[in-house]
Amino acid sequence: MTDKIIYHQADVLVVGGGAAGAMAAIRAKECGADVLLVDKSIFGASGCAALASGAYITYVPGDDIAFHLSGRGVLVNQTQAIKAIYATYDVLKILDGWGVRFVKENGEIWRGKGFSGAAASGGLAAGLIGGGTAMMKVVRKEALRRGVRVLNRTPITDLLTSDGQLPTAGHVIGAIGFSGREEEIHVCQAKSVLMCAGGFNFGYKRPGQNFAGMPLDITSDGVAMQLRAGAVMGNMAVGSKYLQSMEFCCAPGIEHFTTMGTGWVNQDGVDVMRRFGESETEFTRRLSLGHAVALEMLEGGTVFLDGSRLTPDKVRLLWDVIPIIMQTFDNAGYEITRDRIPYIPVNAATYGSSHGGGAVVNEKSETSLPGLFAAGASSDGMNISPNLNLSWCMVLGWWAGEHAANYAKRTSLQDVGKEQIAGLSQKSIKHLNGDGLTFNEVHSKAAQALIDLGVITTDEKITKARNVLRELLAVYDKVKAQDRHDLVKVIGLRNSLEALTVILRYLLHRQESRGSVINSDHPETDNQNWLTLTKSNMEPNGDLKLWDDPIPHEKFYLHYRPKPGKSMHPFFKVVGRQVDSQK
Amino acid sequence: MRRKVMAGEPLYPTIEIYKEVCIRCGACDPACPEDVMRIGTDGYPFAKYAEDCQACFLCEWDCPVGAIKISVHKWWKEDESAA
Repeated sequence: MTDKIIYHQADVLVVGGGAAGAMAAIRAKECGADVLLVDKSIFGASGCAALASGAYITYVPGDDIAFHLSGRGVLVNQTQAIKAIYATYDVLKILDGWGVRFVKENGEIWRGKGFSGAAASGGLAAGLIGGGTAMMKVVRKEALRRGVRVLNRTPITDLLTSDGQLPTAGHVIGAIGFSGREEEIHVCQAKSVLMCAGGFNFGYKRPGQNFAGMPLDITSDGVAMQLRAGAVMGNMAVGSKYLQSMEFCCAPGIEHFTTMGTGWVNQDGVDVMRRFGESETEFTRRLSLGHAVALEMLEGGTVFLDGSRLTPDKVRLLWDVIPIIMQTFDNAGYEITRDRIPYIPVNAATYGSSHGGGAVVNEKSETSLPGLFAAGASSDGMNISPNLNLSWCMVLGWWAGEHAANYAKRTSLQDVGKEQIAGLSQKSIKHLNGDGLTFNEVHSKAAQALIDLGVITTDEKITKARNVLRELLAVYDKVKAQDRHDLVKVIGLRNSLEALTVILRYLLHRQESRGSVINSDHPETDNQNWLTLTKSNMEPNGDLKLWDDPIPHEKFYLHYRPKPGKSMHPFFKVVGRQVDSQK
Repeated sequence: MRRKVMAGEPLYPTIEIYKEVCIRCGACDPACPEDVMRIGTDGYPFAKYAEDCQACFLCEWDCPVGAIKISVHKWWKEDESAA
């Protein structure tokens, strides 16, 4: 072990340089804090944000606020969600001022009518020219211009605590990571730590798919770190559904643009949304689209993107706002208005992706651990949405930056014990030595467990998948990294396995089907027993404690009110109770 | 419409680097979120971890001279028998 230990000090340490982290760093800096941003990949190119479709879901003055909350069945904190909805417009104006290019019509911000938001919504989305990629370049420049210090290619592996313990009974005093390139350990002492390390996306090849998504990024590092530190986690089982092309991995997002003229058909050319109601063919919600595609595949069909009704104007617009997807189509020889393109659904949680759960944060972005703040998909997003999209992550980051900076003014740096540093660095670096299992061996077994779990779950399937993951975690110490690049993947894999195990625990706990979660053992959305937010934390002995905080009915006062009692989940309304054909 | 059937093994994207065009500026390495690129001792980039490439095109777009080309491949074919 010859790794050199490098110490950093900052008022605010931001972990992660995606949409939330970038905005948080800028805001904290504006509030007078000295800010260090550490990114596992490259600030400005990492995470979801840089590959995001240019759908910035936003409020604009004059909107009916209730429309933005018109999601069905999902439980959100409506009071907080309304604040966030208004704030999307404030952040849009800030971005516009920085020179982020939005699609405009006669000088006004243009929005796509009926973009099916990932939020609780209904949302309407402004179009970012050049997608998230172009936006993040501008945001990065703004952060650097203000003097945010940046450390790239440095995965943070664990939080540092005042008592040296994980889980901790004390507070968070920094974080530790290693360089993905050099033989270096990085110890970051900070007055407040702001976790913006993204959500959970288990990169693997879904059945019939060519590429796996993002093996290095979005491995729920933030979620897993906070879990290990003993922060209260919430909403781990929720999320949205999205679609991915079968043949290649391109960022999801084209489903945002369904009502611009793209449709979804089966191999016989039949609109797959029709079974979910005429309103869904007119105004396709991302969640319903996921259900429709899952149903079609359950019946042995294939679902295709049909762009034959797109006008040349709309095709040009798509090139502007989802360039990665459009270039991928073009590159693979598809002409979007001529060829149908096969897609598969990616289900929240059960199919390897979740961006709605994480550390529970209050209205001050504080987690349950003093000194630790969270924003974006590493947090529960103040429970404003089951799935945190680009604009909501930016709003949450903006808010958290201010709170973390203010907290830093009231505290001082604390020394980190040598034992803590040695123990935590060894925990990562040891995978570079000795012989053992490879990343691919463990990863492929976890992927197979998810494939077996499928999109439509049962309690038995969830238990089985969870057992496989726990067995893999039990042998995880034997995984050997070939080099430091491989080590980054190996550490991400551990975090993915830990987060996924907890996600599956939540799925077993909530005996119902709601939103993106469909369980044929419990086909009903149950507002009698499960009008609750499920939370958990890791106890000192390593056990996971789960509990439910009720959400009184009066909390829902706008547009969407959960019906009292139980009602069949929309998916099972269409498919019927028995889904025996999915073995 | 003819049915599409799987053809062959899944492919990784291909990363082509045109040395005759490359100006050795190094912009492609920090462009990659998946840490695929490295700069060789000769100053030219190479795709050291090509298996992690997800064809996001960020390196291609950040290259100032167009020396990188990312290609994805269809691996389905039309099933003639179903026509």
